[in-house]
Amino acid sequence: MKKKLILIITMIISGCAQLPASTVQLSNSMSNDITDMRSAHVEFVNMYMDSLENQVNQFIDNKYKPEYLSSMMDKQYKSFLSKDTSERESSLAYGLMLAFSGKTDENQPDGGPKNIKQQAELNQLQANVLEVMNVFMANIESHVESKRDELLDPLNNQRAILLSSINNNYNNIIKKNSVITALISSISDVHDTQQELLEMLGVKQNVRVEAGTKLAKLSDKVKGLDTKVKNAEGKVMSAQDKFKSLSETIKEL
Amino acid sequence: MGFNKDAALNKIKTDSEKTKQELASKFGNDFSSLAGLTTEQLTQFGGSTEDASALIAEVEKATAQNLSQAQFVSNVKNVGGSVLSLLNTIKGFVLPY
Repeated sequence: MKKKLILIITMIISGCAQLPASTVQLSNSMSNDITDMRSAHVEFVNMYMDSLENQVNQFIDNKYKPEYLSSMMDKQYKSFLSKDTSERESSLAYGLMLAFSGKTDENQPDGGPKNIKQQAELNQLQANVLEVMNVFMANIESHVESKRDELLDPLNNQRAILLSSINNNYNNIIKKNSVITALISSISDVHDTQQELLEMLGVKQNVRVEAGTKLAKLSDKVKGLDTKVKNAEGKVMSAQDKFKSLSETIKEL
Repeated sequence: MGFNKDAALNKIKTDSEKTKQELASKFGNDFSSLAGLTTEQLTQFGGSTEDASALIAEVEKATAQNLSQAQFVSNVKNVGGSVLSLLNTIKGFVLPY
């Protein structure tokens, strides 16, 4: 009998637990907030990584490329000035000097080719110089872009890792929140169904809210009573002691 | 004495390798400062969340049970409607006119 009573009281208390519709709204609002925070976090990471990439591009365009080009040209110029003939003949600058002066050999007299054979040799020299110059320029471009990629690739990987990590973590949070929201929503649905059943049985509307409010008030009163009882306990003990003392005195008489 | 194309092409390769080494030494600090985030920083900034699959499954089960309970009234109504419809059909058979 006692167990049944406890069960009924438990059911009444749990049945009266209040879950306003705003609870589901609050939970949904939290979900929206998390989504907004994810966007902000992702945006910040993208902005930061863009700024790092921008620094790399500025370094390559304004420092590395001019320095590489200057160093390569400097080496060509040093070879051009070299007294070593084979070193001098390997210099693009030397080839350009011959091509512009219309000679295939610097010892030739000025005034351009004197016959068809010399003209053909000059044409060949100019074609060779142009080819080497193209290779020279392609080398500059290719190396500089390769250095740019060498510096940008790790940043792209870092961005991908960071965004993946952030998205996975936010998805995990959103999943957890959605599960809780669904639970709250289902509890709300159960309450609605219980209310509908109570109304079918002729119980007035909002009986759960009323019962819950009354139960909360009753709980507060019981708490107040508990304090009073604890305060009174000392007084009763004191009175009990006095009564015992009086009783013993009477017995002695 | 003339221009040597093959030697000039080789020179470009040799000069390029030499220049790369020179610049690697010259811009070493710049390369380091442009390296971006360390592995530790990636972990730190990416954050971490706990895997709660077991807890999620438990809560989802409770939600499913609640939804079944919540469906009770509409199920009863549906059954009532079906019974009524069945009775009307039977009534039509028994009393066709």
